[in-house]
Amino acid sequence: ILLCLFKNSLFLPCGDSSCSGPMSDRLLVKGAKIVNDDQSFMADIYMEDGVIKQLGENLIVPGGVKIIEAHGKMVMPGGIDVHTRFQMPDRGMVSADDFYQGTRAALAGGTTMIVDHVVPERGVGLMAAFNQWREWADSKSCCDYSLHVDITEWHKGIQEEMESLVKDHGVNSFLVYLAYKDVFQLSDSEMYEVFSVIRDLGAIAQVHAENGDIIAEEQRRILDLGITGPEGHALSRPEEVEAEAVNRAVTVANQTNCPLYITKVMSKSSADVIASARKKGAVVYGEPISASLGTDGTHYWSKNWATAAAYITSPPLSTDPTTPDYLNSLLACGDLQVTGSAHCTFSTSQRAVGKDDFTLIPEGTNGTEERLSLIWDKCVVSGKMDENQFVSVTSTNAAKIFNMYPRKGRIAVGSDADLVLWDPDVSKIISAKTHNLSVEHNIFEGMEVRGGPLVVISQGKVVLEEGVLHTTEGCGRYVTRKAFPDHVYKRIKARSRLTELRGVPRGQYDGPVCDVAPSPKVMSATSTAKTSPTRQQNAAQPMRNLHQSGFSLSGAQVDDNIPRRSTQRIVAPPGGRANITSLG
Amino acid sequence: SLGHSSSERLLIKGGRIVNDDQSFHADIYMEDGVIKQIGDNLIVPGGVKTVEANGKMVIPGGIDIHTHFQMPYRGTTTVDDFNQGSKAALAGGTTMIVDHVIPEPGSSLIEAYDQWKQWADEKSCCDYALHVDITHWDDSVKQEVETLIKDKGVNSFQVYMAYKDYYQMSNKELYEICSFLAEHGGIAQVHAENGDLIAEEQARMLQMGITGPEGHVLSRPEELEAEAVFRAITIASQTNCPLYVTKVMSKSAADVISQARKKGNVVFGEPITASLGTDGTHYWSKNWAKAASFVTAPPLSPDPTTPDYLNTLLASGDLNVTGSAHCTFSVAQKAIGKDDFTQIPEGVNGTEERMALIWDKAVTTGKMDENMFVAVTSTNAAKILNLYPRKGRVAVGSDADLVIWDSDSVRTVSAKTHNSEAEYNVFEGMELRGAPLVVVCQGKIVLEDGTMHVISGSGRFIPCTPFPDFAYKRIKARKQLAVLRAVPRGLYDGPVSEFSPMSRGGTPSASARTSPTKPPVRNLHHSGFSLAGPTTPDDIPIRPAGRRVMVPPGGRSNITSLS
Repeated sequence: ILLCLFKNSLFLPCGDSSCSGPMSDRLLVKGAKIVNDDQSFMADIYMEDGVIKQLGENLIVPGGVKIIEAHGKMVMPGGIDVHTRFQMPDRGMVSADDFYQGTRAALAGGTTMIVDHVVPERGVGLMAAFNQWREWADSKSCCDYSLHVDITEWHKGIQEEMESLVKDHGVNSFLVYLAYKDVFQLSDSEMYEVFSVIRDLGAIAQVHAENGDIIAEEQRRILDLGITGPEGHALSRPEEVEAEAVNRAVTVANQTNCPLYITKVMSKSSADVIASARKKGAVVYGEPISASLGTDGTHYWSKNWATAAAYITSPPLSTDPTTPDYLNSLLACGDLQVTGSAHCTFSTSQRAVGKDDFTLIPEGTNGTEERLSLIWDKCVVSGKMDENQFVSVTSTNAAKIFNMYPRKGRIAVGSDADLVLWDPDVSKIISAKTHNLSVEHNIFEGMEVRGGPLVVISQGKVVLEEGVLHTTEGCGRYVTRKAFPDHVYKRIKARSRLTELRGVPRGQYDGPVCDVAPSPKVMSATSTAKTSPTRQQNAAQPMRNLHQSGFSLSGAQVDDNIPRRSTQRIVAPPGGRANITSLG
Repeated sequence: SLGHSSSERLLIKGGRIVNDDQSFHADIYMEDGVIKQIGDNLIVPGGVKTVEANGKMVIPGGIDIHTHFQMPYRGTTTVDDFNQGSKAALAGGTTMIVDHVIPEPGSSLIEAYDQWKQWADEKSCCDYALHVDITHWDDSVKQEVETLIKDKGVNSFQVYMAYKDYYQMSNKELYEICSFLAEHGGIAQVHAENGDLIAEEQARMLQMGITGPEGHVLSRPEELEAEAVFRAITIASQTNCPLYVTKVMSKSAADVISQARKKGNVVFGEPITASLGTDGTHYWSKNWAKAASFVTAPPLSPDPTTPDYLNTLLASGDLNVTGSAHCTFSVAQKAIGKDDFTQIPEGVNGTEERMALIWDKAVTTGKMDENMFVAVTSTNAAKILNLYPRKGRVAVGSDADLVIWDSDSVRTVSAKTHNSEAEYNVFEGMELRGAPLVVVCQGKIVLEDGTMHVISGSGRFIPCTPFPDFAYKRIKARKQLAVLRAVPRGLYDGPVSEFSPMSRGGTPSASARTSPTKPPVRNLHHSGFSLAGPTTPDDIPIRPAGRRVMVPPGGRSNITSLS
């Protein structure tokens, strides 16, 4: 047996030998309370080559294995930060935390996998941008990662690139923007077409939901009023504008039978829209972020410009200070399902690009390091959710939605050895002085949170122990994700079978037909082809005897013999329902 | 010229007057088309024509706030012109109509308004007012809208969120129109359906070979209506403009309106006779002509519980006004779209049936009382149009537009007996309880003993003035509250990063942005690395995590959150 185990250790999980020293290949966690999303139980965990090999009591393991004593503390699947923007380019600048700094911060907080957003410049193409991001992440990331790809323009070529990304490159989620007018924003028609393509490919449609048209108008109005500071950011993006866009995205997704994922749920109203859509049966997921769960938008009114600017993100933090509590409650009751950080940090001098015009301030807040502790403190300590639900909203649900389960998001034999030994009692004050980021401000500055990681294991190696990080730059692997995740697509598939539409077989209508101008009613028409109403007064109007009142052109009606239903109810229309979400 | 000396004076004796607030017994004396006296034992000139009401209800004549009489459509005209249409309205107890002026996109609003006014002046048998639809938007339209409000007696303007590439307005245009109307005291009306999605769905239906009228409803599911209503409310609330949603056809759209009203939005919903009385199952009729006669947009909902639901919301005050959207086409006209449902001209009847239908569905069922009935069929419309109390109330000084209502009369609706020119009636065969016994319009009896006495062209244009109190009192108060203020700060004088000059909000050219391949060099071993030194201490103390601040220091921007 020993020989056999020794042989196994020769198969290294990642090609880069620097990140898999023989010392750290084997690891045993003893006396742990394993916490998955469905249950908690006491067991030991034995890992080898970055994979969980055995789970149970009295495990037979090779000698000389590194042992971590959990002393009955919780061991849970490492967090998955489903939304990061490390090293993101913005107008020639790059966000302050790159893949190295960003993933280090993530690991320090108990997150062992991140999913970053590829943001292709218009005209660059999805594939070129995707390869660029891969290159960046492969060379710097300290933990496993995957990539969402953002659709920033729409034409035939993009559709082909999406297909190739899904089929050959392990991408199963694409984000569209309803904001950033004239830059990233897509129209409703484009959104409809993108969603149709996404559904056919078996991917997930993500939406940055804000009404960009209204924002553009409001921004101009606010600037005209002489409001140029960060408060203008919140004033020009009231939460209604977010809720409206969420509602519209849900409508389009229902219409195209496409699963929908709302990134950055920042306000009560948009969370409410998601919750009520889910009640009606829509396949929609909502992602609140560390910032919206932990703080609020009152800081935009800070007299210190740099502090106020540090909170700038879109959709903005709500100015209603009861928002974080509300969103945590919805997270606990299942109306919202996943959490990310939308970590996208800029230094003060980068923010200062917009010192005279809030619309130019680069957007994004920190949160990848604080996410787990923050949710533990706000939800588990306060009794809103239990430890199992904590695991589902910080890790498992993300793995299920994006088709990485049970490789990620679960402690089970065969799963990746990404684990966190969690200490529910440790208490910590968040501060820019101690965080693992390269920016001067932390939006959770001074907040005391209870609960934090004691030991973090990533790819079967201890990366955090006794408060010290042992990360290796570039050892993070790209995790491919297959199309048609069951968690999402089982329902979608069933519905697409049900929603087949049929025409009514009728005899040809052979009565008289009016002559009309050739321009169709709804198609685009040139103005010359349309008759103006002033000319139509001359058009011959049907002659009619105005003294005769009950005048009828055709006398008795064809279906007069059919009894009329005036009070009777028909339960379903004869042609079936068009609305796929009304399952009742 | 209108008053015939014999009919100038009229006395209604022994009636029970029903207004929107109360009912009471009194006689009514009218002269020159105006109510002069109300009370018992009135002293009136001799020889006055007297109508005995025998204790029956006397209600303000109905106001049909949404009609499309004599509407031009691709070279043809709807079959009911202002004469036939207003006659049908009077036959049903409606004594005033408000028609929609629809200028062709690109043409003048005022020219279209003049045209409609000319048609109505020539033919209308009852008083009328006009809404003007905004079918395109530029500076000249803006000026025309201002003129229409100031000089032409129009205070309501409809915009379309459907009919892509034709009437449809973008969000930006909707925002500008709402801002403009809010400033000038107008009411923004919307035809709420998402035209982009409809266009996609229509193309899909036709591709699947669905060409009949069922394609109309399949391509316009009620969610698309609800979505547009939600968006319109967002824009109206953002611009602090009163909103009026025409043709509420589905439960979902009605729900969106009632939720918005609960949050404090100034929004009014108008279900129509068709949505209150029938449903969209008829689109599947095997008789093409019958199925086509139900085609209207937004479509009738295929959910047969919809009429009952909408009547309930009307009774609870979540929906406020009723119109008919009466817009009738002959079978031959509908047949323009016999091979393609997108070509079927849209519109249904309903001006004649409106009052009786609501009485039957809402009052006889106990959903609402007679006063509420008056509110939703007449008074609320008058208030929104700023015509109250001239219209919509039985009171001294008000116009003598009255109906003696017989709550026991039962009639069966049929195309054979209706006063419309259309061959089909969407309420065919429906038995309705409640009907007008006598209709008085401009102080003259126009319906008595089942016989109509109407005069073509006797209807007057009733100008509507801006800033109706009913909608604008709240808007004005909120405007005062919604003043935004900047935070006075010292100038930021720290370092500023280099960046490419184009604004994020502008259109970027790909070359203007530097490619993101070279991130700035930075010491990656140094973790708490800070460019600007230690965090600047804040003027205000950092709020402890658990503490709550009730109001943001700069005030709220969301004007509808009044709490």
